[in-house]
Amino acid sequence: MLLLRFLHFFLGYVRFKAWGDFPERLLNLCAGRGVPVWGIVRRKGRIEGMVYAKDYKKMRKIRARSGARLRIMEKRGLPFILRRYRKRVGLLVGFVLFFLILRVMSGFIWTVEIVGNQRVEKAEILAALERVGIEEGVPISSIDPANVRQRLMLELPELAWAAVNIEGAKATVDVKETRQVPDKIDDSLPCNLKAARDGRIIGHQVTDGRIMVQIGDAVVAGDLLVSGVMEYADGESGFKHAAGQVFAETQRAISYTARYDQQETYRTGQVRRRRALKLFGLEIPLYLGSVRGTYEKEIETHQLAFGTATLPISVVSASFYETAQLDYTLDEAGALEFARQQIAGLEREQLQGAEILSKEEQIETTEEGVALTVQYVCKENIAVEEILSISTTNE
Amino acid sequence: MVMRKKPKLSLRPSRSKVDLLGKALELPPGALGQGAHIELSSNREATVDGCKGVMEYEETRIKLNIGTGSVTFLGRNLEIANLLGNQTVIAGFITGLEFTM
Repeated sequence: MLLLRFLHFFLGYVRFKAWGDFPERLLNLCAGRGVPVWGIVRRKGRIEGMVYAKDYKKMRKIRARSGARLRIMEKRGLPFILRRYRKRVGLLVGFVLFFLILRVMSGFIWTVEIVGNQRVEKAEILAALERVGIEEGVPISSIDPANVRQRLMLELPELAWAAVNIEGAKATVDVKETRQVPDKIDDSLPCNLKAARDGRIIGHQVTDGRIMVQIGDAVVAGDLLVSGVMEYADGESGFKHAAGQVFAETQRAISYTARYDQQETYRTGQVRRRRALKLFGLEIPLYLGSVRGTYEKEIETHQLAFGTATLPISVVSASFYETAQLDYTLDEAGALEFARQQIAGLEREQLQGAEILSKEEQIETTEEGVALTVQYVCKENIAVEEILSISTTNE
Repeated sequence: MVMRKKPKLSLRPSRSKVDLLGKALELPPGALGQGAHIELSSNREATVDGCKGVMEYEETRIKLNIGTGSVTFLGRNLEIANLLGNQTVIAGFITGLEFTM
């Protein structure tokens, strides 16, 4: 029924009314001449109905034979709408242009979507894709997905696999990253455990190999702690992958000099925002003038989307935070506190994995500032693996 | 002397050859002949195939010529939804049908 209504609209039709002595005769003549009439109702002694626009002329000839009187009540459908706008050339031009632009634009990449990345940044992949010829605005015909895939893998060694799929005007790049394997010596290779730093041995947990030091022994960096060379009772020797932990009491020191004269960069609170429209990779500024002075810049990009489909249009918002320098002078106590804060940060970095048994501060005051040195006594695992280089010679 | 055979008297109504063929093929009565085919959808719409013309058209009564006679649709808000060739579609609230042969 909907299809029929669409057909009526497409072909155009008129609503008519017929009256006279015997208007039914008009309907019979129409039916006999193959003129389809529908929606016929009897109202106030007259008959109303609908016929296709092209058939109405035939109907007027038939009317003469029926003796009924006939009038058009309404004209409906596409032919009448087009007739109404026939003098408005702009509409026709717009209609043609719409399809023309649609045809041309569908030949270009509108959006590039990256799927499957975790470690490698999206921006890094997009930059690599740009180098291999895929970006917003490039003609689809110029893209060879197999070639792009190979070149992308060469550009980014972190990728184990990549696929380029072009659906309509959207390029989807599906990637899989390589797995990171921790640096570890192969368990099958024979190795020794050697001291990474100076210290006094306070304990050990050796799971394989021959321990070469006793608790209480002092060692220097490079000393052999656990040997991978095994000597058996029958005089034979063999090689093993020495494994375990050797704990030592070590001395560590961290120094920091805090100057009395300090400089700090801070944000004044003045923010200037600049927006730009990015269309097919082309950035169109939506502002006039430039930002002067010292500032920190933060950029946010909002890609426009229609439902789940991303559009090749993005709004780039740049926030310029004005900054200023603050000069100030610390007193001795302030400088010492500042040095302590800095050393606490360095301590977390440098003594990671070590247990601090005791620490002692040494403070030296000069004309320029306060030099703080913290001496630490730590308990830590000093054993590091070193591969045994074995050369076999036949003598 | 020539004996003339008396014609047989039959009480059964005579049938045309077309009707006999239709019966042999197990088709509905009148399907091969000149009779109209009327199809009702509930009491809201009736499709009449073999309509020769509209004889009367009122909101409560539509009378159609079906060749061998006429059929009158009685009801309320009756209208001819479609009229094309010998097919007519009548819509509305149909309360009765009358045949005149």
